[in-house]
Amino acid sequence: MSSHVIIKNSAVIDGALATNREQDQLDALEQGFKGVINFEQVRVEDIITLTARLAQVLAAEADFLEKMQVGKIADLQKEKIMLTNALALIKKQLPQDESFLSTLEAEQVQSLKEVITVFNVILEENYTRLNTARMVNQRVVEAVTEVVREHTQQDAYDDKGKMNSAASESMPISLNKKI
Amino acid sequence: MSLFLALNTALSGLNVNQAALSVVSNNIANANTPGYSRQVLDQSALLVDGVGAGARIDAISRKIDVYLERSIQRETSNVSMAEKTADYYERIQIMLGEPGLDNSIDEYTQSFFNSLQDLAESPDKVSFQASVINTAEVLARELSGIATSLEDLRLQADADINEGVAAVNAELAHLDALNVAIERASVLNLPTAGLFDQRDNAIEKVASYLNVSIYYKPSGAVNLFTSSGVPLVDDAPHRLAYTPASGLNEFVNDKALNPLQVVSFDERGNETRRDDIISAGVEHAIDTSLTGGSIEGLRELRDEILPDILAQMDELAAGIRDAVNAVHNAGSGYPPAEELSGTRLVTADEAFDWSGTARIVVMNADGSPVDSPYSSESHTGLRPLTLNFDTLDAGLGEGVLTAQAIINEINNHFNAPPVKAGLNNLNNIQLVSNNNALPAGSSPSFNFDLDLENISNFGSEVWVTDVSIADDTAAVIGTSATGEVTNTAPAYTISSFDFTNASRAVTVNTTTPPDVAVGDRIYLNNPGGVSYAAGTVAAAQLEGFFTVTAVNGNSFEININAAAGATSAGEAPVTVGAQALSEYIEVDAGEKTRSKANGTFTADLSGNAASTYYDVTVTVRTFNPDPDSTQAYQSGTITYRVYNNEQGLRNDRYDAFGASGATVLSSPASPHQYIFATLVDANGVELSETNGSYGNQSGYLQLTAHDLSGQEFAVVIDEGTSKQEGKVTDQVPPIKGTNRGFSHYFELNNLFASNNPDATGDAKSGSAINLAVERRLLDNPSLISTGSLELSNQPNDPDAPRLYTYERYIGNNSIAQRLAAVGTDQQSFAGAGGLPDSSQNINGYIGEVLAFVATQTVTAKSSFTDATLLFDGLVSRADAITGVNLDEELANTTLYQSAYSASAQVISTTNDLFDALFSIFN
Repeated sequence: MSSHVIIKNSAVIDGALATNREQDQLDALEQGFKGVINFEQVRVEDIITLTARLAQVLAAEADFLEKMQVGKIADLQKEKIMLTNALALIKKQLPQDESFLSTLEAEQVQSLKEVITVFNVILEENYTRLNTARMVNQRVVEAVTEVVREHTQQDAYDDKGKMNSAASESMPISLNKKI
Repeated sequence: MSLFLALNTALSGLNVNQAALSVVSNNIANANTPGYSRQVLDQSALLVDGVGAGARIDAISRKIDVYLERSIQRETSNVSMAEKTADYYERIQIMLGEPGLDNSIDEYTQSFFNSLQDLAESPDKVSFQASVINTAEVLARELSGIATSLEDLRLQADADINEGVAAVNAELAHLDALNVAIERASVLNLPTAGLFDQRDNAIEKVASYLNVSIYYKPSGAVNLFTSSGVPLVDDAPHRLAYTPASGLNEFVNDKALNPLQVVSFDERGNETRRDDIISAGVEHAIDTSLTGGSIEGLRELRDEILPDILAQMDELAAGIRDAVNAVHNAGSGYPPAEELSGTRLVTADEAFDWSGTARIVVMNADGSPVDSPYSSESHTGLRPLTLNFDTLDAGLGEGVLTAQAIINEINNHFNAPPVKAGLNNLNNIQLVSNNNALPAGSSPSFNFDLDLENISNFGSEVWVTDVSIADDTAAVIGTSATGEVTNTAPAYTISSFDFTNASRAVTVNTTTPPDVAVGDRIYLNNPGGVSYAAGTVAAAQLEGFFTVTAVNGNSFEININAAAGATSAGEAPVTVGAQALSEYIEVDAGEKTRSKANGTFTADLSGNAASTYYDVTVTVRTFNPDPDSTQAYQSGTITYRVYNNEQGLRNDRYDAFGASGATVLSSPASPHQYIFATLVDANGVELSETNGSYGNQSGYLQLTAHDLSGQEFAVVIDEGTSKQEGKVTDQVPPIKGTNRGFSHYFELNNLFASNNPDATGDAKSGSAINLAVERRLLDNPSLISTGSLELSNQPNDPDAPRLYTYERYIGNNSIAQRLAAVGTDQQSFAGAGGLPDSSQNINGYIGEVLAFVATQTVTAKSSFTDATLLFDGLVSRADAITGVNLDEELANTTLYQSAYSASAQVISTTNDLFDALFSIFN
């Protein structure tokens, strides 16, 4: 299943975001969580929100990768890292927050488990797409490198009659020609 | 700008525009053609001396596309190979089933051992016996079926290779034709894009079968080579040649497969050379120069992956078969079989090393002992044979035995002698030949020892005092007293006795350390007609048996019956000269023992080397068997008649010809033989014998229990400690032992057929494909071994102590219990098909095989998915045709790397967080 399909049909992720935060708060997420997430006191809904949002970002990234819209994934990296750092802060806070366990409700736990399940599927898909994109990119660069090397090296006899590989002038491709 | 140059510039632009129009039209026409790539016209500035000179089609674009195309073709090979591997693995996994589910190997195995468990609880229940045989047959059939299916997959892979060869050849012919067309179009300056597409399509098809190296000529024509450099497409035609396997048996029987070759032809179509790209051979021995493509994937499946899994199946089948057979041979069914026919082909005169003992017992159909024909054995029944492999000697040393020697030993025992010579608690004393022929050696002699059988409750202690030998005129030609008969029994030279005043203790000093221990009883000869210790101890008091009370270096102490007197401490020892100190032969209660370990006798026959026969008279003494009794030993003489100029005498027993003294002769009511041990051919017909020997013929050991009148008995074997240890003696390199017991080695009572090629006609040994239940058990499930021998009551007195006669009681479940435990017992599995040597139970090994295949299947699927994703990505990238922008690509590289690092951080952080959360929830 592609992440595109998952994210479009993921009632879990959409529901998690809609339940826990109003639109203005969702907007605030993108501005660094100021006033939205209380890192002093861990709340399940914060974890759900951050995880669901991160899932959305990863899914979007996978979609862009699938469509080879490489430039668009750059825009996602900042939020991806920000969300990850937020979750890391929560993880750090978790063992110290004794109230966390006492405030847990079964329904919240269930919601969190569902979000995590979907998140893991999206994460795997994201990883596969990203890895494939890297490998393709590597092959293209290798192909270009081969062409350049082939073009810039010519076998010729030197003044002593020996066969040498002499470098020729660089080729226009280095000038970023569309080819 | 000159006019010419200006015109030329305009023309150049026009040409480009025309070509572009043609390209656009071509794109529209071929929009739905598979494999057709969208063509673009690239333009670049054409400079002459730095001045713009119009546009030209940029060859660089094509060049980079070509490299991308190569990458795609390489991935095509990888995807095709991965696809085949994944596809076959999936089929393999379906065949093997999943652990715990119906129709899986472990389910069939479990059913078999469950049925054995039921049998262990009710060993004589016919339905349970039938159930064991039924589940065994299902297990064998399923394992065999899986192995057959795996071999069939190899056959399919081979057929697929052949199909691939045909497809590649079609494309090679196509490429030859395309090259001609491209060259022609190039010369005539005709459009080549369509031809290039066809060319690329053909190359891609070839690449899907085998990975190739591609070289483009300036014209766009191509040369194709295999990865090892063998030309496939160049100026001369080349074709692949392969002859596939003709059928499944070629794989089952490990026949060498044909090579896959590239055949080159000259312009006239004559073959010029052949190059192997896959060698001929068998399984892993086959070499390949391919590294990708479906043909290589299929070869790997055919020659490596499937044989590896088959090797695991073979090891599993062998593990089950050998473990079950080892136990099954240790017992018998009830009622026991009348005949045991081996399935191992053995050569009569081929010797192997053996050790330990095994017991063969003849009994009635109800498992009770057969009455002995000797009145002296009426309380014990017919004596069983204890085959002592440690001491049996076929002329190659003790324990180095031929099948012939074993057969002779069995027949010697069960061909009941016309008379038995008993003395005290020995019921039979026989002379045994240690020579194969008589007379032996350049100076005629005869070497022999005694075979002694004890059927009492007490151990027997025996020694020989005199041996004499007479010729056919009754003239004595040699005695032990005069030295013509020599004895190799261990003896020590006594140097002196030390006495202590008023004490019975005597220290016996020897010239070498005596091999005795405190509590041993030793026999001393009379040291001579003098008295010792100042005349108080008579020489006769130093003769006889004494118990050793102390041992110290070169001396030991005994107590004599009279105390020494009139001696003083420190009295000088009395030198008595050389005296013999004899060890006696111990025959444990209920055992039959050769005296050879305690020494043999050699009679010098030169006094009359031409005598028709020799009468060997032996004086034997046995100590009173009851250690509490003060009764003296009993002495008797037995005469054996040994005929001269005979062959094949080794281990032959000689019966008493005459006797005197305390010896008792006992004759059977009628002559009997109870077991006939023979070597038979595959049809059960006995091989011909010459001078009582099968010579170097090969056959199968058969034991048939019946007497001369045709009355049938049953035969049961107890494996005891017997063990076939291979061939180490005088064998370079040594042959590894089977470590099987006597019955298991000869495969006299297997549950699963041996799969021994010689025995079954199978060309391959030990293969799972040949696993099968023995036919006789399918015909008669009651022959399944459930119990073993037990000491029997004395036939004539059930209340008397049990005396070394064995019985097969109904209800005995000892073997059924052991068989049921085979499933959970630890056993050794040799490394096979990528699995290492291991020690585990059968279910554990099955789990390991299933897990191995499951893991490989997942890996193969994953490889296929990865290869497909990469392939799709490359195709998608190539199809984008936005051209290669090096700066953009480098920027992408950085971007991918940062996204990748961020995702790695996501994985790490969320893993930690989720673990912590689940830990809290739990």
